[in-house]
Amino acid sequence: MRAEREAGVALLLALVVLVALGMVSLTALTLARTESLAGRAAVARVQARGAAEAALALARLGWPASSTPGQPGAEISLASVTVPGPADGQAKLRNLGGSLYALEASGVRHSAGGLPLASIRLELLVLLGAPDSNSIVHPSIYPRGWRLLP
Amino acid sequence: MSLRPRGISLVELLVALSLTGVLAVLTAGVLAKGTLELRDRSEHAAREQSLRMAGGALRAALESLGQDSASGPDLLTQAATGFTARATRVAGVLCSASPGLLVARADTAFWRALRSPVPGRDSILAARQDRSAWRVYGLLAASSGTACPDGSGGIALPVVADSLALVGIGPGSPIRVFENVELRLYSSAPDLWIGLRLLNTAQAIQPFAGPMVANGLTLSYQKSDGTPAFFPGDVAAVALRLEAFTERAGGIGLVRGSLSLPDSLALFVALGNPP
Repeated sequence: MRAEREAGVALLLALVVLVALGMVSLTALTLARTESLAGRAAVARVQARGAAEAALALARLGWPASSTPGQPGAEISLASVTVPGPADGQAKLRNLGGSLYALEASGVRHSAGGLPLASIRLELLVLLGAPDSNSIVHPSIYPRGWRLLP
Repeated sequence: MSLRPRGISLVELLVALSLTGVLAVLTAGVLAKGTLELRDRSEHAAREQSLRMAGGALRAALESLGQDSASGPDLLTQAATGFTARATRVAGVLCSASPGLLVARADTAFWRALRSPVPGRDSILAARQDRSAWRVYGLLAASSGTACPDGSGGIALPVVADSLALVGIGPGSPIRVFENVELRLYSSAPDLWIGLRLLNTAQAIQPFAGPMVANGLTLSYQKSDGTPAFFPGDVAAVALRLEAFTERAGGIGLVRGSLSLPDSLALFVALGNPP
């Protein structure tokens, strides 16, 4: 009896089509995820910036004179804010010697899992005058004192 | 034993081949359409990223600019398609100043650097102790470690400055190490790009965003009262408009016509240290 031989291309064709469709789907998914991440990163940077600027604005309102760091290089935390996102903003005051101080604000946008998605730091050089009647120190901006920190 | 003949007839073979052909054509059509759509989306994503990056870089370059009567404006030249400006690389505080040598505090609480100062490429802005103005000094040689008068760590910065040029500069003076850079729209045939050039080096302009459409970067400069500013020292804010398109020429994959979809981004940047 002659052996039966049922050769065909259906299985091969189906496999090829499935692989091609799978690759297209996978690429589409990857691209969609990449676009989504890039968009979220852009929004996160804006939120981090907002948090840093909010903290800096709060710090510029002033602080008790007794809190002012006395030694050059010493620093204190002045303001802490959380803005929708959520993004956290922190502002610190650092003594740079004499009447020169640096207000440094940082903003970080966290993911739901607590991982940092974006961060930014700003610095404002300020001068301190005499405290007001409530012993609050109000900083004045040093000329050319604003800059982005790396 | 069966006597039924085995095999397929010519008609069956033709039907099978026809069905296979129809299925192959349909599948190929779907795959080709999907591939083209994916390519379009990929190009659009690249264009959006390019716009965001260009906007961020231009904003960062403009935001920290300032000016005063002694050292002039940090914005050196302005044009509708670009500008030149001082870009800060290091910020610090002096612990001493003597003819030919500035010494900055090395502690990281005072010294914040993107990179080390480079002679011939960088200059230094130092503020007078009375805060009336900043002055510019050329960096003469590479920085090196030294000690401040109080014994703490310092960074020696040899500069071109005699005692007269250092009047008012001393301990406590904030400094900025900067280099001059140019950001502008430029042509690299056949496309237009936004590029950065380090003016004190022999380096050619380097692209960092694009391709842009014709007039894909336009800047309009404003005074603090919102009227047009025609001189760098008057600029308090800059309105930017960027327009890029999807990159098709030289792309990978199927070549399909000359489709290139534009998109734009508008920014308004207030200088952090306005006049």
